[in-house]
Amino acid sequence: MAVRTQFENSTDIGVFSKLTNAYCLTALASSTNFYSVFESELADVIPIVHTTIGGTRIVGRLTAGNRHGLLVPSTTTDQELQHLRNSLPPSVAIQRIEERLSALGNVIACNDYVALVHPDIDRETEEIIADTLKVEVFRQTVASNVLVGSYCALSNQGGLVHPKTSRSELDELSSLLQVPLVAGTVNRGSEVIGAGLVVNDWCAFTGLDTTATEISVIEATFRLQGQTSAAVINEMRDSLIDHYA
Amino acid sequence: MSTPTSILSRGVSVYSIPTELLANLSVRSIQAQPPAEAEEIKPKSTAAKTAQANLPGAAGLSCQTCPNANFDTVEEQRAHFKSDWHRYNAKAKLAGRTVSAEQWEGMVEGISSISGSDSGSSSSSGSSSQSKVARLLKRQTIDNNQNLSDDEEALELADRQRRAHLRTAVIWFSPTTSIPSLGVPKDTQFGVHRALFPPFDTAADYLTELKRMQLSGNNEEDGERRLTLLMVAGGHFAGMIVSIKPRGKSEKQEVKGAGEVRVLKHKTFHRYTTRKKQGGSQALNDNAKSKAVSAGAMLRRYGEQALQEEIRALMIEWEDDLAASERIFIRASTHGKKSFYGYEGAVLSKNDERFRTFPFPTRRPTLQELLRCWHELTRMKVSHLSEDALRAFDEEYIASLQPKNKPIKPTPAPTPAPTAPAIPKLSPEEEAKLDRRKRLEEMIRKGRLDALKPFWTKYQTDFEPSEILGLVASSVQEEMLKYLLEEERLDPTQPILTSNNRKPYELSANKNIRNVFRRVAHNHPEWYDWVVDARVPSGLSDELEQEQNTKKNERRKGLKEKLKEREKQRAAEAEVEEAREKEAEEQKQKEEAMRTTAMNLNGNTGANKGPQKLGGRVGGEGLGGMSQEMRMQIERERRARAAEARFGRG
Repeated sequence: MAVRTQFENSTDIGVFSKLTNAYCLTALASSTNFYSVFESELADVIPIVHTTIGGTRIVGRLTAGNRHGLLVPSTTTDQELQHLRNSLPPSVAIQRIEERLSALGNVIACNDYVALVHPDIDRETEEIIADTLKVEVFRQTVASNVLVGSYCALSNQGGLVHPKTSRSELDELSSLLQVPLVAGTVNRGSEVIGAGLVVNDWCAFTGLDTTATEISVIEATFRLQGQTSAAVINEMRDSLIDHYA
Repeated sequence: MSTPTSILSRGVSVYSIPTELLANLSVRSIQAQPPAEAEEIKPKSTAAKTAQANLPGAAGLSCQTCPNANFDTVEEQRAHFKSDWHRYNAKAKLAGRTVSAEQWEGMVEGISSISGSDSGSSSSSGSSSQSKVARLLKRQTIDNNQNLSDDEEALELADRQRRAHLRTAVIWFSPTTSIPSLGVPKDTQFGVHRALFPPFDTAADYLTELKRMQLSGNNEEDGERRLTLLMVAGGHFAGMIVSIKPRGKSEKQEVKGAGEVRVLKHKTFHRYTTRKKQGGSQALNDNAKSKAVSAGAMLRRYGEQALQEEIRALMIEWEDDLAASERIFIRASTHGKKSFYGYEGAVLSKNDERFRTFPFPTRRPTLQELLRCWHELTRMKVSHLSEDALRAFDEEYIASLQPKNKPIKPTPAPTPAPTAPAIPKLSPEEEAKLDRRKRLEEMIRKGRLDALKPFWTKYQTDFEPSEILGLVASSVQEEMLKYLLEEERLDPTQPILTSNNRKPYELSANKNIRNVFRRVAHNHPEWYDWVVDARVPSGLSDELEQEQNTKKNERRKGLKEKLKEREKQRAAEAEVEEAREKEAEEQKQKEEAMRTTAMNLNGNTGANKGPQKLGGRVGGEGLGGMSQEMRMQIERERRARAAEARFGRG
């Protein structure tokens, strides 16, 4: 099920939250509206943690993680790290990374098995990612963009990538990730998928601007309604492809 | 002193290059490369394109990043995505280039110390393989000249070369073979300022133009060809119109220090325009701030205007010559250019294709500076560099050029490589030969006959005999000349190619040297046809010489006598003069005596003896203590006496 929400009038909710199968991080806001949306969906299933990273609210862009672990940048303070440690289940490993490319959410896109990373990332970081998140790491680009975390959203069920990704590249990536991929948009045509969408294996949150068509593509892609990903091609064809335009 | 040794030791004018040399010249360096390079690139790039076009056609598993990477199984594909090749390409693709598997193999072999990494097990390849990729990437960026694997890379390089070709101030030519008759070894480069040529795109055009530029030898035609040099800066103006044809020996030279330059017209003037201590022109200052009202500012404003008017008037005066000029070199600020064009009734138009700026720094506009610039522009530059050194220079220079789109870093502007030749590199034999020539020239210049004798017997095959004779003759080395002519029997009848086929005798610097030739000619008339071939007008026997000497002595004696006589006459005149002066003296003394007696009569005996006090007291009488009336009375009496004395004298 995909839920539309916004963070203090911003539809880029992926910037202010991080969703995985084992936990959810949300930024501290002046009201708890944003938090409440997550709470209503996820309460009692996974912990939802209010936090800042390095004193900033852009937790979604600065962190990367899956059910095995959470990676935070070197700017994270000890207090924040302690708070996360206290809030997250003990099965989740937390690792602070000394990496030049500090916006880990932008340079790492991962599900529980595979991670795509920026080609310029350190060799050491690559190893830490593999060890902490228990994933296979691939240095890749998405539609010629190095910021793989910004331009795709992955779950174990499927993935949504930058709309300009070519067919051959989609094939290549999906064979790499072993999940079906769809090129699409969120937030009424925004190509920054990672910023507009957070997703895990059973639910998704998107920006408030996301259209119904986009929602249905997202739900089909990530199999949130018990559909198969073939639904994107078969059932939604008419709404997605404008014939004779 | 210019020595007629090799063409290289004299300045060679761009407009009169010896024909042997001109026939052998070829344009070299960066200019010659782009066309060939471009042809080389083209097939490559198309090949790359077709390869890429074929790539996605494979229905099976493939890699988008690496060219021609297809796989049978997913495992293979996933393994590939962890390989160094793919990792390298993932980064390299961002820079717009990728390498094929074969190229990659070659690159890996190039790096020696990677024994630990096997591409099969990626996890064990560890940091060494990573650093390998990093190293390769770094290396790739450093020498991007070699791996022209991609279109853009090649285009970038071609673009750089094109710009390199556009930016060098000097076009370099080199002879295809060595030319012994002119003393030009093979590894010699001749530089001609680009500014003398019209803007060309291809290198070959420069050579044809250079050939076309040569003086025809037809007097009337050549006389018409001229260049104009104009400079205005800091209130100084200097302008000169120069004929390309050098001045003949017989023609009058009106410009001091111009040498062989035929200056047709020249003019310099100066006005007070620059603001002292602050610099800059008054107009600039007026525009920047409000109009200054100081007296100096007024003067400068007037000076600027006057200078401009004078220059414009001069341009009108020179109109015909300007129209006939092949190139017009101008040094002027933006403001100063308004003196030359861009006003109503301007002689020159702004878009005149003949305009050039001086492609080198110039000093204050003076006539001397104009002459220096003329020489700089029209004399060929000479350098001796081997092919390898030149190539190294070219590459360095091209590499130093900034890519077009990137912001230019504040590094010092790269100097055009060939214009600053470092250490000339020649083949060992030629180097030795040049060295020997230098040594010989020095021996001759310093007159070291003892050193020259063994040297000559050893290396005489290296040199042109007539040339050496000419050198000796022009360096005034009588002993050496005699030795070379009589003992070594050097042939003075051979023409010296490097100085207009003149004969050694004609290069003699003075009479003594000429006499050496003549004496030898007299002693050995059977050796050569001295008069016709060697152009020695006549032999000089000892008797003849003696006769000449006696004649000279006589003439000298005669002169001495004349001198003596003149002296005597002068002495006599002096005596008469003295007598006259004495008389005048006596007369004077008489008058003086009369005056003193007159004075004495008036009772002023003491007044004229010894130093006289002025005012206040006369003849010991003090006026100081007297009353006003008394003083006036005495004063009156004194004046009356003086008047009487005057009358008495008259």
